Amino acid sequence: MTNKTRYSRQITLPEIGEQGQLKLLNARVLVIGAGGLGCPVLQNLAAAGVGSLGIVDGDVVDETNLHRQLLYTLKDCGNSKAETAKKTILELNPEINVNVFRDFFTTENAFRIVQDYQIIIDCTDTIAVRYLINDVAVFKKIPVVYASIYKFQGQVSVFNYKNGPSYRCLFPEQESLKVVPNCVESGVLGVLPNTLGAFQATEVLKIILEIGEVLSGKLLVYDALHFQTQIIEFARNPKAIEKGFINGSQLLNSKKTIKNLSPEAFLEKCNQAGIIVIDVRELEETPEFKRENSIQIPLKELEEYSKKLDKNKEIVLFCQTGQRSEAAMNYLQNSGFIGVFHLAKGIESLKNKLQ
Amino acid sequence: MKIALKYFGLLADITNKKEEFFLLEESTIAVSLLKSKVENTYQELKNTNYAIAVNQAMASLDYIVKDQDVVAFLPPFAGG
Repeated sequence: MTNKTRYSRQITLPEIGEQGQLKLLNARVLVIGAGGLGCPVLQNLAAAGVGSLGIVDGDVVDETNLHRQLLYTLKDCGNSKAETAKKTILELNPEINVNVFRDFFTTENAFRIVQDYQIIIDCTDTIAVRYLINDVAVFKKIPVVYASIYKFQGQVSVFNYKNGPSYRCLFPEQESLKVVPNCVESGVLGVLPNTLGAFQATEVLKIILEIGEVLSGKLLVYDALHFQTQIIEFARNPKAIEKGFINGSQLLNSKKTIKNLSPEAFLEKCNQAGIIVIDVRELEETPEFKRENSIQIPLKELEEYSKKLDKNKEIVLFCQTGQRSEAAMNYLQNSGFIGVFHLAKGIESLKNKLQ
Repeated sequence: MKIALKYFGLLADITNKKEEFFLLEESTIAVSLLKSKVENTYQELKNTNYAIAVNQAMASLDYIVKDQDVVAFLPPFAGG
């Protein structure tokens, strides 16, 4: 042990002690998403002395992040979130190792990224990515500490812990595109993800230290506006776990082609001959993005519309933040379309390039 | 029978309420039937993905809801 002073106040706890601190030092934890949830998770785990942290985020800091993502300051705007988060937490605790992945978590890089880690923390902002994390984690038998937020409310749970239930056991995936949530920015109370991220960090420390009772098979639902918390119990569903496992194994064995487009790759694709660009947002959503080869088909109408499309044509999908276009891409791929791509972070990631 | 319904996240935005009481002539009701009754009242719920918990435990569609039960409608949240 290199520095007992820094951790003395937690080593004093009989539940932790020097043995526990050593467990933290040896732990390898992957944080997917360095936004509202990821910032407090990283800050707390770094401070506690978790020895190896991985940070996955392909995004850059934006001024609209600053009211809740407290690892970043105004001067960081435009810089990589993952790199900036690394720099900030290393200033807080230079005794840990931090590994950065400046990419979004996708089907192409998922297995490569998770390979060295014992615990995954889901701090993402897209339902499709949450299912992806689940499937990879179920296949690799890695526990996932989950949280998600909506306006003033949040959810926390731990999946795949000692053979416990998974994300799909709690929320089975619906095949229909009609149920994909709209991804228009809905706003969030800045302090909310910090509360939920602190809950996630607590669960991670309990798992590493093997103390207390881990939130497995239980969903914590938190309502900040009315200060209400509930614990909802849920059971393991073998079929849902099997589905995740099968998806994970197919992913591992599939040919890796890049289906998630960066803003640059998206604009380049739009100019290619023979491509169909589909805007899956509702008709009234802005900013407008029209090209000669583009059409507007709101997500709820895509199932019907896709029956008329040639499955061998290349299709590029986009929406506001990438949530709906990713669901649409998965749907079209499962329906037999050969070349489907989507703008990973939506038209919002293009806003600087359209002006 | 009288049951309490609680709506979370987007579902509370759709129903425009956090909770309400349902008075039903039946003495028990399966979750599946209750779900379609509620979706008939709030049509937009049909286009959302959510789980249903009865008395703080997730319930399958064939679970039987009884008088005084508390039924929670819980969607997955996306944000992070």
